[in-house]
Amino acid sequence: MYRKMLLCRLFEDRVNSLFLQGRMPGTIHQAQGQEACAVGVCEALKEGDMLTSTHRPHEHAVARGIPVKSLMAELFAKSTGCCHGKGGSMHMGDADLGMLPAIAIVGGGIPLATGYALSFKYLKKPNIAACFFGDGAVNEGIFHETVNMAAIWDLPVLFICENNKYGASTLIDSVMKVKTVSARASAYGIPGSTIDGNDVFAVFEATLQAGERARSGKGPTLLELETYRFAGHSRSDPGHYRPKEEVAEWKIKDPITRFETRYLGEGLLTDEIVASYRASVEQELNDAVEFAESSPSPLPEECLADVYVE
Amino acid sequence: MKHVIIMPDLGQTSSEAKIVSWLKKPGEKLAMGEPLLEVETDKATMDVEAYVGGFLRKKLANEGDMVAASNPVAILTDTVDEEFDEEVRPQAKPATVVEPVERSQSATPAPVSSKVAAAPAARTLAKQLGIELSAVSGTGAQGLITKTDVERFQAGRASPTSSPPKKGQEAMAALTSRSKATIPHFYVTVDLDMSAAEAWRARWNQDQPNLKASINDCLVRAASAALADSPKLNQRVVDGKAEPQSAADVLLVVGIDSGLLLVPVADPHADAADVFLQRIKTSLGSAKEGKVPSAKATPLLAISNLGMFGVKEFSAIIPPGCNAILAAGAARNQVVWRNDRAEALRVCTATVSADHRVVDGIAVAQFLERMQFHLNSL
Repeated sequence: MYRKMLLCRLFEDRVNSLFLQGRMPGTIHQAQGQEACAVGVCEALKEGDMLTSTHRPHEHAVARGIPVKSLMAELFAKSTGCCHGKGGSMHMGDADLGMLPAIAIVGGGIPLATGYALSFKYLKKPNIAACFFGDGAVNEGIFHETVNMAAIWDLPVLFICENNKYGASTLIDSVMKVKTVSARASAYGIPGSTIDGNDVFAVFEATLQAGERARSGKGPTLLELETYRFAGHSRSDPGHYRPKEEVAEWKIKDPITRFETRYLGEGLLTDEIVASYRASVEQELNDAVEFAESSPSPLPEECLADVYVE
Repeated sequence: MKHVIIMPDLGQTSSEAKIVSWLKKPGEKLAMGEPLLEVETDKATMDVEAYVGGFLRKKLANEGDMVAASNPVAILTDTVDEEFDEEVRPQAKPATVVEPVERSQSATPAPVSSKVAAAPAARTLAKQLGIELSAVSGTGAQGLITKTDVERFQAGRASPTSSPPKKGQEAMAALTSRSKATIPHFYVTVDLDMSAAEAWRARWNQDQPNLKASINDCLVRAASAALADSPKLNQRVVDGKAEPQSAADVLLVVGIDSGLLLVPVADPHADAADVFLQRIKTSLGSAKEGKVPSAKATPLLAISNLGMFGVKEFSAIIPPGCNAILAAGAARNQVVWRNDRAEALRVCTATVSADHRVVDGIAVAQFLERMQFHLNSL
């Protein structure tokens, strides 16, 4: 899990660096700081489970195990990308590997995951579906409608809210009267809990338990993971609406440094292991960038491929 | 080793940014990810971080400069005193970035760029006319040169006496910004029935083949007559005091090669039709040569017509000093349900933009009603 978190973080850092060098086209929504959410949840999912994501999907895709080469190539709009270079930053994923290409529409992944859950139940498959969404999505009508439907039909789906406090620039407290997103679960008659989203083991445990509940036919769970994104909403957003002290406070809770401090202290992790993990992750990213930059662009004649079902 | 820092593509609607301030001095050290300069995009002020650690050696742009995305802004080196080549190679650009085009329309050739962004039709035309595309300023998306830009350039080349376009554009930019920022615009749209006016025009043009009337002439005359019937619209408000006008002058928006002209026409409805037509033809003729007749005061109603381009309808910005502007589209055939049956009508959609500090919607609606009346009785 530690290496996965490092891979998520350094993937995002590398993407930012490539963006600043002008080597990568387009704008990007980055998730530095939210690694424990992505990794904790994905580690608790099994083969055959389905995940849906948001406009901030890079870390979800890395954590779900989509090869970083195909993710990097997608960001470079190359034909070797996970969506053949036609999806880009906001559509990362590979349905064959258990993650639908992400949907950038706020709340858009919630009903799709629930649809998967319905099909799993109908086909009597042992799998579950999970959807990531942000705090900005919980006041969308689709959230209420879908969670209610999943609840009455006891569908095997996990509703996972990454609450990073800001829907773009809007503070959650200014648009939600209850103190926590998880408090809403009781309105649908399902369990809900708020978890430290920067503690990868807490996220993993909670997802595992909720997953077992769903697999045993007891229905959905609403998990709220409290976390923070270090960067702005997108590369065109400096995030000046957040107090400097708040950002600094959350930097202390950085999920990766927290993990390192804790396990270095307990002697389970050594500086050598940290260094070797970082080196191997950097090497993996170097290879991914080289692969992406040397890959061909999609051909014009391919523009209608994957658009219609034949 | 030398590292070139570029302006990242930070904007949401534009791909350039202004340098607000440098956060580091030449010679200063900075770590990877540390902010190097502060820039202002179309939406926000934000930091540009260094993608690599090193020493700032050379700033390639100054505070206040606008820099297009992916253009170099600074050179960093790994050590503080290593020698470096000040030459900056153009960066490999992401596919989405369009080559910035020099905006000046002066005769001096634009800086040599490998490929100027231009529409294929513009390229073909430029080749036919022997025009160097780098000298043409583009008005399309991200400075793309359109066929119209080439045509305008050719027109400017053919008649060097025409007023310098940049000045006209600047004036228009200032006028329209001021108007939209200070006048509370509202809009009223009607379909004017042009059937009677068209019938009158057909008769007139048959009788007077040397002094033909256009649809625009009909609209101008009817609008002026309606203005004379609309005291609320035809009053000049100065310092809270309303001065009713005795004449119903109008201000015509006229397109010339280098931009738009505002041409006043005194009381178009007051004279006999032949006198009016002669007068408006003379005014428009001299305006096209750059001579705008003077007016005692700005007329209170402006008229803009894009009908000759097939435009169905549009709304216009009120020229400062006017109370309203009438924007007319093309006359078109339309079937309407009237008198319990379908009738084919000649229709022109007109939108009046009006200043709500002076008039309300009822006054404008009444004006349009009177305009229809006068169109029916030209």
